[in-house]
Amino acid sequence: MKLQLENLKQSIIEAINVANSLADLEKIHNDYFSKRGALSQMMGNLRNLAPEERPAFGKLVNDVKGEVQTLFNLKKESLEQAALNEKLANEAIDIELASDHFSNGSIHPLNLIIEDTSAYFISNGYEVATGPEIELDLYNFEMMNLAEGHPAREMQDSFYFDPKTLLRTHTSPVQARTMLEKKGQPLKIIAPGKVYRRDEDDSTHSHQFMQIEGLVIDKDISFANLKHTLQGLLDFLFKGKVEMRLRPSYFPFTEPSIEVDVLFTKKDGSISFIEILGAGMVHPNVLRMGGYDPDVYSGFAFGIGVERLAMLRYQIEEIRHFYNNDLRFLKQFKEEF
Amino acid sequence: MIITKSQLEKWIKIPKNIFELTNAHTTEVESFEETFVEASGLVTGLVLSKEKHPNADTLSLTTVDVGDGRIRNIICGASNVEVGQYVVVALIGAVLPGNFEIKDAKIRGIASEGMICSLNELHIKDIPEKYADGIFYFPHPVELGKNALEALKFDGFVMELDLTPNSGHLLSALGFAYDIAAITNQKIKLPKYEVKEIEKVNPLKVEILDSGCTLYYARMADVTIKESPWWLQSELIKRGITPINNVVDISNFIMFEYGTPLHMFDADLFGSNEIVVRSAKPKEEIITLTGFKHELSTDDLVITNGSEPTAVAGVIGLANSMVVPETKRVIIEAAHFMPERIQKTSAKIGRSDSSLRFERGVDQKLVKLAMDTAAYLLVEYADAKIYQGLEFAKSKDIKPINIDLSVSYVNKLLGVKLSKKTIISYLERLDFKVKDNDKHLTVTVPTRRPDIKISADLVEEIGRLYGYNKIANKPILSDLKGGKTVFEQKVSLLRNQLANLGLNEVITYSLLDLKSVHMFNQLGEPYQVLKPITEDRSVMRQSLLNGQYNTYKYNIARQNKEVNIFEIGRVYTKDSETTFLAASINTPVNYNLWQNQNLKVDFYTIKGLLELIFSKFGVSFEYEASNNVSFHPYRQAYIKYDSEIVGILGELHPKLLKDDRVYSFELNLEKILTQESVNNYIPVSRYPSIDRDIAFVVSKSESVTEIEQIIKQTARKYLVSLNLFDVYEGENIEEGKRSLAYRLVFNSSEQTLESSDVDKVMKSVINRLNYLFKAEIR
Repeated sequence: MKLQLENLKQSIIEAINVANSLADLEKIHNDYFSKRGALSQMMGNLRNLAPEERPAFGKLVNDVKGEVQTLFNLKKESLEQAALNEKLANEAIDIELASDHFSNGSIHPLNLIIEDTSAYFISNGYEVATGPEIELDLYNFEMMNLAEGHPAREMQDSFYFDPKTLLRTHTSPVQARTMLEKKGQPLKIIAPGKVYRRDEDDSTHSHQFMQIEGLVIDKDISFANLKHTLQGLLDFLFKGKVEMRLRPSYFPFTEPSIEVDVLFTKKDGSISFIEILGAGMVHPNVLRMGGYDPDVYSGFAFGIGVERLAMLRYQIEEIRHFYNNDLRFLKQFKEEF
Repeated sequence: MIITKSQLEKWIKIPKNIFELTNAHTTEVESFEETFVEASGLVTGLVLSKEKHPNADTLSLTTVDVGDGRIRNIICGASNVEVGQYVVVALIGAVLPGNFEIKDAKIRGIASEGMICSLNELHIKDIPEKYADGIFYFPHPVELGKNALEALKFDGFVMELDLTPNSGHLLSALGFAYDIAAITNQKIKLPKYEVKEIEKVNPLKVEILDSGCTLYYARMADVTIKESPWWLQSELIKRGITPINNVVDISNFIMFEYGTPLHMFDADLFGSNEIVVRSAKPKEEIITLTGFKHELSTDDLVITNGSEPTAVAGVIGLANSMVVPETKRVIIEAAHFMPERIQKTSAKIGRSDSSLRFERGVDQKLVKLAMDTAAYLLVEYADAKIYQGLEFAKSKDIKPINIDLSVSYVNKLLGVKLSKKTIISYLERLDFKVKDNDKHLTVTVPTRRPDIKISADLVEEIGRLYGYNKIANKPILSDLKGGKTVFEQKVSLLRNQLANLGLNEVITYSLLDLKSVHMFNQLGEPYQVLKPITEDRSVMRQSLLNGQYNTYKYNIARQNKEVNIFEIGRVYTKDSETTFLAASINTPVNYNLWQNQNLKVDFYTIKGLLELIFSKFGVSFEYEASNNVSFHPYRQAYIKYDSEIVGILGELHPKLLKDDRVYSFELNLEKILTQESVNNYIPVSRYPSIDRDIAFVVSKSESVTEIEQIIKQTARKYLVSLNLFDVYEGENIEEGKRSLAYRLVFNSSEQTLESSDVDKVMKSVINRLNYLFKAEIR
């Protein structure tokens, strides 16, 4: 019996060793491990033994069973692993082929600058104000200290709808509207938006363009505050410490008035001062018309041309690019950090 | 305004950094050239001989003395070259403007040792007629062998000021000199001219009938019309004025010198000895000396001979009395006119150098000096005989104004701490008289500064003299809070979302042509501007889709085939200005060409995009069939929000496109984005969900929206999602019907749902669909 068991064990080991597929193992399982398999039968042979021999032989059979089962399991695992490997090998891909295309969207460069600048001012305590583009002469000119017949009106040739209504020529009417709305209270606003002038479109002029207006009114607002604000703004816009140069200028709604140049390095490496914005202390007439007593309140205002800023910052040669919307142009602009 | 070194140095000692000083303290310098003409190697020479070139009819062989003891043989192509002329010689090695180098050359077999220059070769634009064709020669002898640029007075800087409308006082060399004198602490001394008169008495009588003319001086003189001395011509050329003759040139020169325009009449053509200044008659016709006809009105001022106009006051002279080469006798006008009056006329008939100055304000005080200087220069350079007596009339004295100024106001507005003494010194440098009244200063503003009206104007003067760049920066102390309106915040979020989804933001023009204004939407009557530049830009847009469509076409024409774009902007009528959003797509934002995946977009893509971006604000829409002629008649819908039509969605009409499909939407943002959006938290369920699929056949005329509403109503609270996963029509389905298949997911956050409960719900869903829509369950 023992010999028979030993032979059985050897033949099972032999069978496991030569098996090279899961099907072979299945057959081994059926032949030897199933209920009617050789090992079970070997257990059945216990009945032919004397009762006192049965426990020892039973143990022997179980030992053999355990031993070959372990071998069987190891083999099975290794064959399963091989089968999986083969399946995955068949799934090999060429990692160099083109990826799925996800389109790159973009925010218009002018709005990038406006959003960027707005965020800067909001963090400095400014509200973002808006106003209508179809504006009354009252707000666009009169309340900005440009009464009818004022020589400076010709600086801004306008699109009128009727003698009282026009497309705003600057974002300054938002100053007047905000002052009236705030009813004499201190204020800090910026007002970005579209403006229009009767200019023929060419590479540097556009009948429609964008400005960002700024206005601060409070007791004791001074030119020194304006300078501080402009330096901060320009440092922010040009990402670094900017050398600023102020020149006396003239705007009917500010007195004193200045224009601001920045020392600018072009792509070709040349450095020069370039005009970037206009600003000044709010004219007493403008304060008065807006409901502020110029003996108590003072303020400053500034205005930046957004296209001009974008053209400088990105060295864009042609203002019409902003309105032609060629996708090859638009897609180039992303948030800068 | 052009400032030349030669004119400025007569008034002040010019500081080295004049360019920087002007920019920092006076006004913007538009351009600054170190020398008017940039050239080297030019010397003065004298033509000693001239012969015809043996091999060329049009060339001359000349010998020229350039003062260095060696006579040069120079070939000259100009027909006006003559012996005895003092000329400008470019020696071998000279470099002319445009980097043109003069080289040793043989012309038709004969060597030329340089070139005799024309003004054209020096890149001069305003060339007197005499030198227009051919070489230039000095109208008087010059020392030989000297730097010719110096002799021409074309050395020395020329700078152009960019002047603002308030800076009338800078429209002259004297005015600019006053400013630089103030900055550099110098004093200007005005000259005095003794006018030599002859015995003959000035017969002119002046009468002012309109106070638009405050002062009028008139003299009469016999003159000889000829070429001006070169220094005078040079001064005009540097300002872009072509010299004409001595009389006209002197009048122009004085205008640039003092900012006081003069006018010279031919006294014999003038028609009388009576000068009457009056307002023009209604529809009075005139012909200007430049030959243009105008019709005047009573707003305009004219100079007349008692019966008819001879000049439009302060603007331009008339053809009937202008100085001509034959003129023997002139009337010299030096006058002052009120800015508002000249401004109106100038706007109507065109601006001149003269009207520009009167518009911005001429100093009445300088008018007499201008007259004296003119008389003096005419005697010197036009052999003038000045008749005895200066005739004049005056209707008004322009008086200096007084402004009260407090030291604290100056310091408060500028943010500086200047002493009273410093402030007074700045004002006095500008020739403002200051009286110290303890509490405040009383400042008397000279009449040459009509732009100074209020105390803030004085603060500007003090600020710019002190130097804006010197003022120390100071932060603002304020606790105001910053922010954007909810609407603007949502607009930004929309913009970022659409860009992140692969769409590109565009900005298009608000002005359109009348024909296409209603192409995509009609909000109201077209709102037109009165004077458009072009018809293409004459009406305010009523839809952003015009811009979307034009941008699409623009890009397709440039082979940019993927056009996925959006715009957030306003649309306009006479009474409204509303923010809209439009988007258009013709390509999936995500695809794979070689795997053939996701290669098309359709109506449902743009619809999904719309729903996605607004779901962030908790906004959902309904749709209703629409009939916009610019959309595909069977693939478009109104977008409804809160039972109101807020926009349109669909495929653009294929007739607008070429072998392509574009899907767009446009909607009004104002209502949608002003709604508050808040988060309503629902605890996440701990219990498993149960899925059920249902498929049924219904008539195609039954609305899916209604079907879905009924399912939701019937399934009520445990239904957490309802998704259409199959739509089928065709084989095995009756004509006019379709099969719809939905997956319903049920869940409860309180308990594990029993299959039997869900079965019950499904049964009532089926019953209702069957009852209401005759749905046959498959």
